[in-house]
Amino acid sequence: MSDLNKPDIPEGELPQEVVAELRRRYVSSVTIPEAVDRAVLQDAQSVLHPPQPSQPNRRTWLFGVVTVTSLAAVLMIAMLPQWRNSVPDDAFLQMARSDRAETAATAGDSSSGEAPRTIVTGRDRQDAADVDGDGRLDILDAFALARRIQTGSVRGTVGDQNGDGVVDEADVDLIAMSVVML
Amino acid sequence: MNVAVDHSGCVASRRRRVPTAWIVLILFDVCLVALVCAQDDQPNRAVAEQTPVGTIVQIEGPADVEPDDVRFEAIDVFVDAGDESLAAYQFELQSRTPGVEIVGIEGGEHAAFAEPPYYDARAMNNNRVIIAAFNTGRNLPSGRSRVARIHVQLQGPGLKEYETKLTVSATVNGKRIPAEASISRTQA
Repeated sequence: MSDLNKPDIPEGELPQEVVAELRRRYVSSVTIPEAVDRAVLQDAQSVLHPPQPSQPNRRTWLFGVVTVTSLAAVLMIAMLPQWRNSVPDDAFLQMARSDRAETAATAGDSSSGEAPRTIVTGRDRQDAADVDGDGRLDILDAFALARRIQTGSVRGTVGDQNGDGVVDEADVDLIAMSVVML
Repeated sequence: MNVAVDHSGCVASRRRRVPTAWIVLILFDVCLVALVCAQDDQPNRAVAEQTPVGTIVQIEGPADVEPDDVRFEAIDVFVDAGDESLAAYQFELQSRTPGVEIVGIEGGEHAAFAEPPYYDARAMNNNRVIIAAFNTGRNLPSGRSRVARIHVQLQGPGLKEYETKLTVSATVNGKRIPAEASISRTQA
């Protein structure tokens, strides 16, 4: 057995300062639990690097798009009846007037010899003139509007087919024209 | 330690909220589609219930004419409203045999419908026409009354077949009434 590892000086004979310094240097380190370490790290990160506002991901975008589309659909459904009943159609009226004049000229040659009250339709306005609200367009819608005009019971611009702000005979004629359109 | 617990709790609650919102949105859309379908279906059903059935009418014609010969006739349109007073009507006539063209339309015999009815000018030189008229006065016909006369140009011999359809007949109050329409060749 070698004596190399043997201390030259017994520990009990070392100076007290040396012993104290050696004990301070070689003391075992404190073991910190991993959870505590992680918590401290996150706490530090939250202070040093505050979280950025989160960017919307694809799912959020999709949700938003579907929501907006649904709301737009609801709005359209709610507004559709009003649009149908209030779309002014100057071209339609103009065409009807010209057709009426043309038909009057044609029918003037017929055997009746009377000035015909003929009005011609141009295109479909199926739901725009449902004055009596029975879900179909027929001569009774024109009749109902004519009766309202006659009795003075027109409510606002309800039945204003040509969009001129006045409910009168022209609107009745427009509805009737729609009825007999081929 | 507290930070970690709060963070994970926030994520968990967010993950729970998203599917609920999706379910609500899907239910909302389903209700929306059902509403639209119901709105579209209702008028169609009403129209289908009220659409009258056409009647086939044959009117005899001379047999001793050449196939290219052209002649003119007038067809009277009658509406029989029974005991009720007829204030409005809508009538459709369509030829089912070739060689028939509508060339003119005039009013009826009663003062309430003496003026020509509404019709589409495209019915001229065509084989189909829809006529309609109304009167808001009190002097209205009842029983069987001629409400219009339709002038036609005919080509060729034999009978001509027409389909007639009375779509609307109503009183002065706008109440629909059962009525019968008929046509016949105008007697000279």
